[in-house]
This record gives sequence, structure tokens and C-alpha cells, in this order.
Amino acid sequence: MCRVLIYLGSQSIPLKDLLFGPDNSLIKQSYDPKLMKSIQNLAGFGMALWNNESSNPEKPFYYKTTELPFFDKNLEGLCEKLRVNCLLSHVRGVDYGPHETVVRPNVHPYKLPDAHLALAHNGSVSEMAKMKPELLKYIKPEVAQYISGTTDSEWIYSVFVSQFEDPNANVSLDEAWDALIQTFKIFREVRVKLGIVSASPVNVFVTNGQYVVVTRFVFDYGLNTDAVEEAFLEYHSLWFTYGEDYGLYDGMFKMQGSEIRRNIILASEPLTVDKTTWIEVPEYSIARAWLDDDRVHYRSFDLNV
Amino acid sequence: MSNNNLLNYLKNTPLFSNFSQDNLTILAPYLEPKELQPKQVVLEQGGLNDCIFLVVKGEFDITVTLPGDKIQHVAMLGPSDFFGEVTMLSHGLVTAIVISQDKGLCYVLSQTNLNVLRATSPEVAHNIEFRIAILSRQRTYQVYEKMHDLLKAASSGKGKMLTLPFVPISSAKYIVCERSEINLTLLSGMESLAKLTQEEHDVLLSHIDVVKYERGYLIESGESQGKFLGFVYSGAIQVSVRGKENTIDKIEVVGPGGCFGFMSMLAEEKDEVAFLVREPAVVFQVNRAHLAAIHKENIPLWYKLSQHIFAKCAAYLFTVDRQLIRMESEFQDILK
Repeated sequence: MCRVLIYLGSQSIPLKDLLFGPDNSLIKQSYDPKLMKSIQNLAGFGMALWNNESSNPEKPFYYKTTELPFFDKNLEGLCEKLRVNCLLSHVRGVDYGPHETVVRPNVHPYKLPDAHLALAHNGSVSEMAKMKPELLKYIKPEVAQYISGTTDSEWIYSVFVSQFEDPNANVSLDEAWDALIQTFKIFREVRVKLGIVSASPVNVFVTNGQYVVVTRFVFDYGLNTDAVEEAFLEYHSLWFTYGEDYGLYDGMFKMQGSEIRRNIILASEPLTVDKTTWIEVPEYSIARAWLDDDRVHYRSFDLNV
Repeated sequence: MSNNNLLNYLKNTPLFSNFSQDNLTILAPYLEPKELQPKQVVLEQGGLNDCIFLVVKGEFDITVTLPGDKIQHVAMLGPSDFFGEVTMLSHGLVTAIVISQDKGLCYVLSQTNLNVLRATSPEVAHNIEFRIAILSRQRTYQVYEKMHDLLKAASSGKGKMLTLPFVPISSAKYIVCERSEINLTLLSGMESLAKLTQEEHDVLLSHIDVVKYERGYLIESGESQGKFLGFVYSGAIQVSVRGKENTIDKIEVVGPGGCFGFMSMLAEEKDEVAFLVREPAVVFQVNRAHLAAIHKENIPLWYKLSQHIFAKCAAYLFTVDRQLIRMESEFQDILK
């Protein structure tokens, strides 16, 4: 459930071209996702974006709404004006039913008011109610005070930023990397302690505007019982593509040029209907992308927690 | 082209070179001539294809578009070459652009005609699909070779491992269990078995081993114990390619409803992949003896299983190819 898009690059791209441009754009994925048929992603849209030319560029522009993004005139207006060097955006998908809570605090990405790191999540951690008292032990009080929603994702974020001495600090890529792995270890430990074995997809997207860390991971993937939702029998997807320039080429928005890798996009599903210029991140992976001398570097590794 | 000329032509194409004269005679009427104009896009990357093209006349340029719209020239095909076979069999997306260079002529075997052959001359259809699977396997091995070289170069470069990968656990075990222990109502959701009738399900289930694996068990595909087609009922199996210095890299993870081991069903030689039990798994295993018994008892089921194996071999080539592109893109900085 949910769809996420993260962009990082030395090229400053019009927000509209990223969010609305491609033939399978994130906004289209809110009502017509190609790789998930069971649900639409209509329970909120959010984004954190960074622009190197803006004032105080380390601080992201942050926007969250429960309005449907394709009807959102504010979003349309912002898209006409803003350009991005980094974008983390998310459309939220939940079950159709009154048991779900569709409110702004449940919209991704998550970010403490003064923190540099933002996080979005595609997936679902099962039996969270049971886990919360245990997880609380790993969350700093100054972080816990900001938990205001009902999602599992906010708890992932809270455990994650609590791994830093100062949750608001602008930490290095290595520190963020280690903290995310540690967060997964904590969740594993709590699941083992409570005997939770049902599949829990945790495709997590983290960025501070300068680097990106993503995971493609499912706790206890594959356990096939009557209780398992069909969607969880498939591994949640994560794709990436890269190039020299992103823009309108041959009538469609896509990456162009490969000699110098200036930009990278990671997304829950390819933004173009032609998937063949996209590459799937392997299952059980953690990956990082970072900028160095105006070039984007990318590596993925096995995630074994 | 006269019938005799067509038969001679077919005998000289690598795809049908080992076919008997009888098989070729049955096949020939199902092939249809297709003229191609100069610079005509015959297959488009990302599109669908339901034909095998056998080149009789002309040249066909094959290129692949990679991330960043990088155009990579793959081959120039001429008379007796063929294309489209992998995507037709696997029902996957076309991964290359094929453009005729001049006025060309191909003989085409369509999916529709292959289906007719499956019904009227299943042996001939089986031979075609088997041949495509064998060729896909050879090409997969070529990709493995490139992966090995890449892994070797990367491991001696400046790229360091930032996580400890999942590795086999020597104490992990497996047990063969009773079919009665399995909730068979969940079988309907298994994609690999969806095309079987109830009767075929019953026959298959009477000929399989149900094996429970502990996390970390390494199933060596080259061992006799590993020579089986495995349908994952529960859990997850990681398919990994072996590097030359005992390095392993992930190709894919097969979860509930998926299957693995199809390549090792084609030939006797040791395979170059390992199946690592990533999550505790229940696997339905069909080995060669089971297949032989099914062949005696229910030939339509045997053909369906064979088709499944062959289609998986073709589809797997795509998966392996994509992972090679991923590795190349990731190691690009290290290898420079």
C-alpha cells in the first residue's frame, strides 16, 4: 500500500515535471497505480523538498494534505513555481473502511519540526498496537512528544531519529545508514519478543536533501496462512532509474543521457509505462544514493536483520 | 518459398537444426511469411510480442535502451537468425528494439499457431519450447559469466561491503512432511498452479514431495537432491549466483506461488545458482522421477508442467539480464 517517489540530483527540476509529468506519475498512481490493483492511494499526499537556490537550503519545504492531489489547487500552484534538487513525496493508501483514520498527522513524509531527516514508508507493520509499549522504550521523550498520528510509519521514524544523540542534527550518510539498520534491528527484536511472525513490508525512504537511504524489506516475508492479506504475499516493489538530465524527451518525461549520472529517481513503481529503462532494487536490500561533485552515486547491499 | 525450400531453410536455422524431418513437416504450415519495410520497427522495447521471427532475407538491427536512454547496440541479425522467441514464450515485455535495415522477409510463428500446435501436435510444440528454453539457459549462463567477472572486479576495487549479507546456516535442516499437514485450500492462490484443472491438481499432489526447510538452508542446485522444480507454498527462497571465488550475489527472491529450479530440470550438468532458504519455507518439489510418473499417468499435465518450466527459463533470462544491468550501474564508479 502507498506509493513513494524520491528524487536526488544536481539538476534543479520543476516540481510539476516530477509529480505530474510522467505517464505513470506519482499523482496518477494515487488513483491508478499500475503495480497494485487492490487499492488506490487516496488517504493523503505529502512531500518534503529541497532546493539548493532557496534561502536556508538545508531546511525543506514541507507540505501535507488529506486533499486528493489531483484536485488540489494549492499543490497545482506550488508546482508551477517550485524547483527541486531533492524530493520525497508520498501518496497514502489504506483499507476502505471506517476503521482507518484519514487525518493530516497520518500523512507522510514524517519530519520533526526542526529535524533535517524526513521519512516516508510504503508497507505495513502488523500488530503495531502490541508493539508500541515495547517500541516506546527506544524513543527519546523529546521525540515521543511529537507523535500525533496513528500510523506505524510515524513510529518507525520516531525510533529512527531517536538513534541520534540529537534527533534534529544534520547527521552524515553513514550515521543515517547505521541508524536505519539499527531501527530495523529494534523492530525485529520486539517482534521476536512478542512472537509476531506475520509479514510486514517496510520499504522506507529517508533523506536530508543531500543523500538518500532506502530499503526494500519485508519482515517474515512469505508466511502463507489464512490470515495473510493477499497483497502481502508479493514482495513490495522498489525501482530506480538515473541519467544526466530529466525532462521532456520524445514527448515523455524521462531520464536522458548516461555519461554523467547527475540524477536518480527511486520509486515504488516506474514513473513511465515502459518499465524496461527502470531497474528493480533486489528484495531484502538497503541502498544509498549521494551527491559528490555534482554526480550521483548509488550502491545497494543485502539487508539481513 | 516452396515447401521444400522452407524445409531446407528450417533445417539450417539454429532454432530447428536438431528437429526431425517429420517435425519440420508438421511445423512448416504454421509459419507465415511477413514482409518488412526498410527502417520498420518490428519490435518495440517495453511493448508486447506474440511471435517468433525467423529471418529469411534482410538485416535486422537489435538495440537496447538502458536507463538514461543509453542506446546499446546488441546485434545485427541476418538470414537463419531469429528473434522474439524469449518474450513470446515468457509473455514478458520486449527488452530491445528491432528495426529492419532494408526490405526483409521473415517467417513468423505466432502464439496463436503455437497454441494450435500444442493442441494438435504437442510433441512438436514441446520441442520448440524446449529448444527456446535451452537457448535461454545458454544465454543466462553467458550473463552469469559477466556477473562473475563484475563481482570479481568489484571485490578487488575500492567498494566495501557496508552490511553483512545473509549467508547459509550450517545447522539449518529440512524435513519431508505429510501432505495432510498442508492447508490445500490456499493452493488456489498459487500463480504457478493456477492453470491446472482440479484433476491435474490432484495428480500433481499425489506425485510431489512436501519439504519444510529451516531458515538458512542452502539447496545446492547441482546436487541430485537439488534437481527438482520447487513450487513455494510458504516462505521465501533466495536465488543467488555463485561468483568464482565463492562470492554470492542475489538474483531474485521467490515467494508464495512462485517457483524455482526450472533451469536445473533441463540438463544434467552442475548449475551455477544456489537456492538459499531466506525465510522458513514449505516447498512442493517435483523431481525427474515424479515427472516421469506424471508422464505415464497424465500427459496433458506433463505438457503443462513442461511449458511452465520452459516459460520460466525464458522469463528468468530477463530477470538475470536486469540484475546484470543493476550491477554494472552500481559498480560503475568502482570499475572506473
